[in-house]
Amino acid sequence: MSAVPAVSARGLVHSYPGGIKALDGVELEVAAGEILGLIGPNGAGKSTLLRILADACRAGAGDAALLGGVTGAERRRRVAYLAQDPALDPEMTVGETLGLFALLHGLPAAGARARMAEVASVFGIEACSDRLVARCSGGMRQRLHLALAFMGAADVFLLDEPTHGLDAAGREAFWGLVNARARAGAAVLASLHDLQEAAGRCGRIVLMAGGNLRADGAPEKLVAAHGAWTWRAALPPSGADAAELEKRLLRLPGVGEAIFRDGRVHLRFAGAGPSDPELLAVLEAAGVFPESYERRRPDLESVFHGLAIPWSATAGGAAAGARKPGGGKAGGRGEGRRKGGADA
Amino acid sequence: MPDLALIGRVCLRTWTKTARRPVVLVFGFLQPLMWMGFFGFLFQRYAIADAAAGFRYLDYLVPGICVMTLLFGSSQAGTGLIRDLQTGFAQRMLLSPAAPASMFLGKLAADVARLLLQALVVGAVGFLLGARFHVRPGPLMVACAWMVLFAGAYASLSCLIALATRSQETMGVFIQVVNMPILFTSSILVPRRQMPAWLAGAAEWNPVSAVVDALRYALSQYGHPPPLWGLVPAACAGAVLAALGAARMAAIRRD
Repeated sequence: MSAVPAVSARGLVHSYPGGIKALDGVELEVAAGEILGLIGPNGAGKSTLLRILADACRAGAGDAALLGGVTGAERRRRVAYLAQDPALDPEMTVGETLGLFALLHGLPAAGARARMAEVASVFGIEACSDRLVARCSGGMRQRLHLALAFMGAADVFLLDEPTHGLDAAGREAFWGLVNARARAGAAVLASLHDLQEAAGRCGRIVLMAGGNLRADGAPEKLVAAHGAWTWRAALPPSGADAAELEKRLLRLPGVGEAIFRDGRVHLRFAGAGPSDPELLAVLEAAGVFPESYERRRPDLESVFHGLAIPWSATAGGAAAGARKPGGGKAGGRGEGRRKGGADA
Repeated sequence: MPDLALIGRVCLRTWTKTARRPVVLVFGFLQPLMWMGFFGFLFQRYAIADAAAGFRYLDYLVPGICVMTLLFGSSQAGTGLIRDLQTGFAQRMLLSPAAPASMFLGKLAADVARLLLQALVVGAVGFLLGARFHVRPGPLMVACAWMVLFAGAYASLSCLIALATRSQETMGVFIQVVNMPILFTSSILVPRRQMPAWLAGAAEWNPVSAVVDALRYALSQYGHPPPLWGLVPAACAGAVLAALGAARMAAIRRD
């Protein structure tokens, strides 16, 4: 691993017109070969940070040096940037788009053909080479969007929500390629909304909120340092007084946060918190009988809600990766999770 | 140093997109043909001053309509760029290591070549409608140089406006508000000698008059061509506008 960081951001500040502060003194270093997942709520400044690092936006203050400070065409050759929205020309075919970007990256004819074939194969778009982008599905466009980011021989990948709209196979292909590039020494920064994906795929997580970094480290270390047990239950409509019930729950030892929203209750504990029967007893005493509930071990989502955006500020767990109420989607690594009340 | 392969690819991309959107091409032909049809027959008894015997208004008009095709077509060069800006495709291309100048020149080359071809087709239709030509190869080559320089410079200006405003509406206003005065204060439709004095003065300085005079002299042996040295300032103006366009294009990399 090189001593010079692949990415170095010092005191990055950026505001949008109207005084909206997107970045507020961001300090970040990423080493070659590192895969860094950038997580945070909407408006945290993730996209702005990536855009500034990609030289697609000028920082209001601070300094962003990539690969030791390369500039100009050399910087653009060695840094691949994937914008959040698939910026594609709907009037070109998939093959024409790949061919154009091979040339834009200065690949020689033979090399261009090989690279086009490689990325088209990895992302499964070789069969639609002659199809107009306008006639491709959203997933196919995202695959082409990704393929273009991997056309050059970049040493730094700045990827803004790269797996958005991708199916499981597409995600596997993408992460396979990312891992291969990282093994070859490339630094990867990917903004992700899927916290499970971030925890499972990235060796390092940076949590952003309010234009700054709130936490930085390996996923398991972040969870150990900032995670919390959580408990949530889907509640049927009842005449219970939510404010009163919240007070009663907060009186239980270890309950740090209790939020009622959208027919659910979210509890965040200090330590393991009260047992399920204790919690159910409080709810049932108030005439509230949960349709389902689950207890989750500390995970990245609890870190997210603890440091970046509390449950109280979300609409029933707006962060991606949040579970559906009533034991809908199975999720993640919550070993202690129990559902449905049968084992209460 | 411009990347010729990239210029060629961008050029091909522009043509391919034009072929896939034939409505634009059809309107590009329809408008000058309508002008040629209406004006040609409306003023067929209009006597052109200082013309040889048998020289009719249609003979005078057709070279003018060819140049008008360039005028209107090149003023619309920026509209395609706005589509690329709105989809973010232009910014994406600019974040590659390729030189923005090559991308800009590729687009210009595509537009200028297409417009010359369109002008040729318009001239051929004029011939079929009865216009008579007495083509002289030397002056025709000079006229082509004027046409290329004018189309390139005006297309660059259109792209500059597109890059600055990124608005199809503004481009529409530019096309309508600027083109019409340029058209009517030039010798496209009427010889300067037969214009009111104030209009003739404006037409004298209108660069479109120089282009149309060169083409008319080459095709119909009418009038006098502009001096050859005039190509030098025309080339300089074209080069400056193209350089400004390429520089502006590089600047939009950072929104």
